[in-house]
Amino acid sequence: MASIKIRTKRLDGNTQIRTLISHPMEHGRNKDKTTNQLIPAHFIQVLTVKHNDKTIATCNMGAGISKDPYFAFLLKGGKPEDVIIIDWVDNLGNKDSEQHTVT
Amino acid sequence: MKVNRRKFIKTTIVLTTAGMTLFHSSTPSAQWNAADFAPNPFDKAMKQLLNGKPIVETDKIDLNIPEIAENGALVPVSVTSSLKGIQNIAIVVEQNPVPLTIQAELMPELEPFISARLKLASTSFVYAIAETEKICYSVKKKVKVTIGGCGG
Repeated sequence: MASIKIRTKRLDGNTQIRTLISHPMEHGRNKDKTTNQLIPAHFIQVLTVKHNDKTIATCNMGAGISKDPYFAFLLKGGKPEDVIIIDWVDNLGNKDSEQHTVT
Repeated sequence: MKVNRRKFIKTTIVLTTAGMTLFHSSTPSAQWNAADFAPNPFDKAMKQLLNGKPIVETDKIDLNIPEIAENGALVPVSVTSSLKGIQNIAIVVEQNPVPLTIQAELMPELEPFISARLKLASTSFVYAIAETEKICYSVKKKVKVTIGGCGG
C-alpha cells in the first residue's frame, strides 16, 4: 500500500522535502450522491517525518486538509544518503510508512 | 472512624489530582487531541490552540495563500517565518466547521516552513499561528472562495 510519495531536492544548502499522500480525507459531512447516505469521516490524524531515525516534524491535522494531501518541509542542511521516513495514521487506525533516500 | 474517612477522601483527592497533573504534563503535545479537531466555534478553537499564551500580530510570518480561490476544496498554502524559536505552526480557517486544520510541531532541524493544501468551506480569514515558548504570533489573510459561479 504505497500511498506516500516523497521527493527531496537540495535547495541553497537546505533540503526540501515534499510529500504527496493518496487519502480520501473525508470529513464526514459529505453525502454519497447515489445512496444519499453520509460518507463516514476518514482522514489522516498524525503525520510524522523522520530524518535518520530522529523525528523532525509531527503534524496533527483534521479533515480541513484537502483530499490527497500534499506537504512540504525544509530541512536545514541535509546531505546525500540521508534517510527520510514519513508515516501517517488515520482515524480508522490505518497507517502507512515510506522511506526515501536523499540524492 | 470519621477522621479516617475524611483523611481517606483527602488523600484520594490529592493523589488523583497529582496523578492527573503528572499524566497531563507527561503527555506529549504531539498527541492527536480530538477536542482540538472537534467542530468548535472559531473563538473556542483559538482558545484551545493558544493554551493561555498571549497572541501577538506580526508581519514576520509570511502566509502565502491566494486571495481568490476558485476551488475551496484545494487551496495551496505555505507559511514561512523569520522569527526565532518557533516550535509549532498552526493554520486556522475561521469559517470552517473545524477551524483548526493543521498543527505542525517542528523540531529545530527544520526551517520554520510548511506548505500544505487546505479545504475552505467558504470565504474566510485564514490564520497562520506560530508558537514560540512564551508567545504565539499570528498573521491573517482573507481568502475569497468563488466556487459555484460568480458569488463571493
